[in-house]
Amino acid sequence: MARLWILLAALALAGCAEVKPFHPVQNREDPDGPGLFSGKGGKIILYESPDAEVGEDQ
Amino acid sequence: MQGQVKRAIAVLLIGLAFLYGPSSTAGAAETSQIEQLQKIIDLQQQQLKAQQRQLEEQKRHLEQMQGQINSLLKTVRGSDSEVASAVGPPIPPPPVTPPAAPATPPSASAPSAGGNDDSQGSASADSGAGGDQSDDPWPAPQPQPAASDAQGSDVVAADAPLPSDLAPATSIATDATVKTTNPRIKVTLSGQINRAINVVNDGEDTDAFFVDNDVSDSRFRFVAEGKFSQKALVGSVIEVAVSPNNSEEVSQTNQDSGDFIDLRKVEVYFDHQDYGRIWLGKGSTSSDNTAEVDLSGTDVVQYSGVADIVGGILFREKSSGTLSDVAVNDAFFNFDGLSRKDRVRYDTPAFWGFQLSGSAISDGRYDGAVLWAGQVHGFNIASAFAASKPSSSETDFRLDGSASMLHTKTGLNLTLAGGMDQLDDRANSSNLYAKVGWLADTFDFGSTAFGLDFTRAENIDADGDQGHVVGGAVVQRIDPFGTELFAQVRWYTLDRGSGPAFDDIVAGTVGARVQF
Repeated sequence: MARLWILLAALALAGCAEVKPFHPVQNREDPDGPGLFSGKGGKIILYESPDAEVGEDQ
Repeated sequence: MQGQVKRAIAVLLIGLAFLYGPSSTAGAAETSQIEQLQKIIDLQQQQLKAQQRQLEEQKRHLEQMQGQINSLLKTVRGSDSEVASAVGPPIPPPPVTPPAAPATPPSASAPSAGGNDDSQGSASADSGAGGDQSDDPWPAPQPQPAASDAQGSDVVAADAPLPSDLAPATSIATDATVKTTNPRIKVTLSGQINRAINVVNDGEDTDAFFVDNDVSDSRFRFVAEGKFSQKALVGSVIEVAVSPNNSEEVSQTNQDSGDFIDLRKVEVYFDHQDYGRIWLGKGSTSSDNTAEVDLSGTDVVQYSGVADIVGGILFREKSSGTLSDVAVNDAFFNFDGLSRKDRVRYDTPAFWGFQLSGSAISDGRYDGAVLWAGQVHGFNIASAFAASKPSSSETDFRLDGSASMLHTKTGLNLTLAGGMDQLDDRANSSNLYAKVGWLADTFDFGSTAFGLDFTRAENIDADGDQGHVVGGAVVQRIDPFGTELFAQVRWYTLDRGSGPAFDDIVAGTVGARVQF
């Protein structure tokens, strides 16, 4: 039994080594993508300080 | 310029030597020499003035160039066209005025007052630009005085390359975009309209209902974020659902349910890349959406909350044909945590794809969640699991979770979800959900998603209840218009352990969600 757990743990670790980051979008809550009026960003910018790129690189 | 001054002084000294030297005998020849010297001095003065004007012109030109560089840096993340419009047409090089010809008579020399006026005019314009630059968070170093450039040479050509002093200015300003400590503020408005037409057969009647799709109801949101460093930001959200004839409320007996307005989110958050995020206010609890992870692309109308699209529709009693008081959303529920509440919530940073989250909620409620997402062997995978304590006295705790995986190459996907309430005085209620789907890139203008799902619900409205739902959906994205067109069919069955039997409900839906 202990060997089985060790094998499973090794398999899990091997699997984790292949994992790359993935950030799912909550499509129902706050969908990603373009807007009809806002264009590519999907957001109408009401104010932006002159050097702001906030939120773009989160 | 200093060379010119030295030469002028030397000429003056020579003239004085001629005037007062031992060889001076005050003759007619000497007088003519003095006059010649005087002329030379006048010409030198004219040349100096002309060169001074030219240098001032050069200085103005360099400052204009600096303004252009600042504009470029501000729009450096924009598209090429945006950059081009920000920069505007190139500034023509200032005309190079040749030094005044020695033959020019002194009376024709440029008026010094006029020259000063010109320089003052440009100086005032420059001071305006300088004011802008003082507000500019990416200040570029001031160019060296033109006099230093002119040192050793008579005149700096107007079309000469930029002085080397300006070269590092660009890199310094670029660094400033990364390392600035000034808070950077952005306020945005976004939202969507999500309308649908439901055609419902309740076993006896077929009716059409014009609803706002409660799966993802119409809403708008204001988001304000201030970024204080590359890692830290403060944000706030106000999100309001404006949802007339919400599909959760519309029924056979109430086809005009009126306006539904809901303050979905009123919250502030503090985020640090290394330490996580704290939320305060009304918004998603840690367990919210943990039973609704879905990568299928059909979740605008088809997801684990199978009741939402026709939630208010009432089951009809089979024997009498009368409408019961059991609505679809009474019999089907996905146990998706504690939804949105007034709470304080903390999310850890993600480590190896994992993220922990916990929230303390008003009225003695609390919850915790574990989320994991990653990309493995061509699959995008997302999952969540949550435990929560609702305020209801009859519910001990709630467990829920979901997982979704999408094969990125083929678009095939699988979504599973489940949830349960541990109840005090009756049998536990539970829900299981499964969906298979295909996300296809058939058209250039947006993906096409297909999904088939199945739901099994137990004991949700009453002990002994067994409900089943089978559905199929298709969603077509039209990205240039920020639009998703959707259609679905669902078949709801509810079997009671005791009491009257119900007719099945079959609902067809067409609609569109438009992000503005």
